[in-house]
Formats: sequence, structure tokens, C-alpha cells
Amino acid sequence: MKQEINDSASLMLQDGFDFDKKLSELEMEKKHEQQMKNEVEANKLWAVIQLVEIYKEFVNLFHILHEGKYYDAWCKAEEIEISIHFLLRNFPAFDVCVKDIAITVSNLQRMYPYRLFISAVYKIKKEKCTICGKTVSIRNLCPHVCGKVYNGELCQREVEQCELIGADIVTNPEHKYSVLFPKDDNHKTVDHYDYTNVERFSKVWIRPFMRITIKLSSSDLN
Amino acid sequence: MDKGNINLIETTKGVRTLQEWLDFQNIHGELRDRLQSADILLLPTGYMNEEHGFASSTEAFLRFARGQGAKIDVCTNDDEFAIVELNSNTIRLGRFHIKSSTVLSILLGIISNFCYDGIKSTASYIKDDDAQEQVVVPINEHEVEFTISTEDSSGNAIDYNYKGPAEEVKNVSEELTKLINETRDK
Repeated sequence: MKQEINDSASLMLQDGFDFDKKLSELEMEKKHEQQMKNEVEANKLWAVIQLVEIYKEFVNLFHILHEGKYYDAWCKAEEIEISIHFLLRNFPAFDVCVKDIAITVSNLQRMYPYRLFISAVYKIKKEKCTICGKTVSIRNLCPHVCGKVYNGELCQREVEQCELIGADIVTNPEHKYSVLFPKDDNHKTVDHYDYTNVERFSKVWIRPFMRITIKLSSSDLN
Repeated sequence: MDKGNINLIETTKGVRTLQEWLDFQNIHGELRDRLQSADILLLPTGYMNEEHGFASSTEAFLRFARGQGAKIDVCTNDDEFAIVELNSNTIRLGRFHIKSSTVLSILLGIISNFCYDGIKSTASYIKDDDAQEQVVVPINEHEVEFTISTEDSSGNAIDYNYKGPAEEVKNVSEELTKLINETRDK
């Protein structure tokens, strides 16, 4: 399988690769395997789709960053990070294909000036499993583990009943997109952050799939 | 064990004894008997004054601990189970009641493995050989919080609160066992 993964990844590094066409073909293949109840193949296809999505979004991240949409790029970087997390949790053998992307994303995130975030606190009273649709019962757990792939689909929890009970300001958020932005007198969001380091990063990042080695001093991160 | 590990545990007056927790959660009959016999019981956390809410990791921890052979249960009636989702990156495991100090090392081993299991999928690509540095937060920088509740020899509730690196959890076992045994022998 490792060779197949490497071959697919190499193809995607080429300029002009049609990600959407590839994704559409893979989705059709996966649907077929799901209908045939061929869970092993359906799961493998889920992983390849995830990989193609990660590469596609990584190229998008490159363009968004170079358009100067820094907060959007920050959110995109987080999406990629989450996709990599679930891919490797289910298919650790894909690490070779996403290692460089993960490193670039992580290095980029370190260039950002964001330090404070909002952490929302929810009370979740009722949620259901996205695989079997059953309401989660702590005494009679369904066999599906949240974050694992079953028959080509990622198991998640769909919240049916919840209550917002507060919000904290934190430095280590679970959701990195929750950056604090002030509002001006007209209630418009103001982006007051200094993106000098992000701009420096984007100047040396001239092609999506290139390795960037950075060395940071503590003053760079302040 | 170095002194640093001792500082990771704070001993405080317990919130409730096991019997008081069972009353507080309105648990009676057969379920009460079953929960009383569990080696490890997951208790409500009290985060954000939601006194009956559990940690968001409860379901995942329960599955993981049972997979490791632990006799563990949750102190709630099924239809009253609710979690409090705190969206910071600290791993908050909540509150555990242990039947005896002999269960402690098993529980700490499970907590340590659970944290490692959750982190390892991101840790697998952390080494950037060219930059000669770690680019993703390594396991020893992930902070974990949990409380172990038990009773002293007079039946008073005592809480042992751990807050520190995931990596250090397995190293506090000896010290915590000693602390628990001392309070039980008093």
C-alpha cells in the first residue's frame, strides 16, 4: 500500500493537477465499495480522498496566504491540521505523504501574532453517532468510536441538544480559528495584528510544495 | 522521584464521599450497588458550575479503560448524562473515585496510555530533521488535569488534583500511593 500512496502523492505534486476530477473519481469508487459492503477498500479510499483533500487545501492555503488574507489562511491551516490528525489516526502509514505539509503548516502557524483566543464552553445533553444514528448512551455504548473510520466514513458525534454556558479567554485553544479581534465604534471587526513575520514567510514560500527550513529566535515569537 | 513531580499534585478537602456522590446523582437500587462495586468510578467534574456535568473525554476514556480490562463505570443515570465541553487544548480527564490505593497504579497507567494514544497521531510527524527541532508540540508539553477522589480513615472525602505534563503522569504513581496510604492510616 505504501508504494500506491507514494505514487498518488507524487502525481499531486505536479503543476495543474486536477484535484476536483480526482476527488470525484475517488468518491464514485468509494460509493461502489460501500454498496458492496467492502469495508476495507472503502476505508482505504476514504484515506486516499483525505490525502487528495489535504493536498488540494494546502495549495489553496498557499494562494490565500499570497493574497494577503492572513486570518483566512490561519483558518485553512487549522483545517489541514485537523484533516492530517484524522488521517494519521486511522492510517498512520500515510505519514510520509503529509509530513512536509504538516511541517510547513506548523511553521506557518508559528509566524502568526495571535496569542489570545475565545474558548466556548458548552453543556452537551444529547448527541448521536453519525455511523449508526443512535443517541449516545453512556451505559449502552454503540460499537463506533468517535474519530475512527467505518465503511469509508469518519465516525463523529452530531450534537442534538446543547447549551452555551460560557466563554473563556485562553492561550491554548482547541479551535485555533477562535482568534480575538476587537470591534471599532461602528461595530466593524478590526484586524490590529502585526503580520510582519507571516509576510516574511510568504516571501520565501514561492511554490506550494517546497521545504522551508526556519530558525526562530525567541524575539521572533514575541 | 524528583521534587518536581510532588509539586504536580495538590491535596484538597474532597467535594463529596462516594455515598454523597451517589445521593447527589440520585442513584438508587441495583445501579447504586453496581457503581459501589466498581474499582474506578468517573464522577461529575463541576466545570463552570455545572455540578452534574462530566468531562468531554468521558466516553472515550470509558471505552479505552474497559479495553485495558479496568472495572470502571460512570456515576450517573443514563438519561441524565451530560458533558461539559471546554475547548482549550488542555486534556481534562475529570474526576475519578478509586475503591482502594491498589487501583491507583492501574488508573495512572491507563491515564498515561490514554493521553499518549490521543497525542501520538500528531506526534508521529513532529521531527523536522532539517530544522533539527520539533515543530509540533511534543507529548511532554501537553498538559493534563485530573482529580482522584477517595476517603481517609475517618471517612472524610479527600481530592488529589494533578495538573502537569502528560509525560509525568506515570511518574507520580509512587508518591500518590504513599499520600493516599498515609491519609488512610491516620
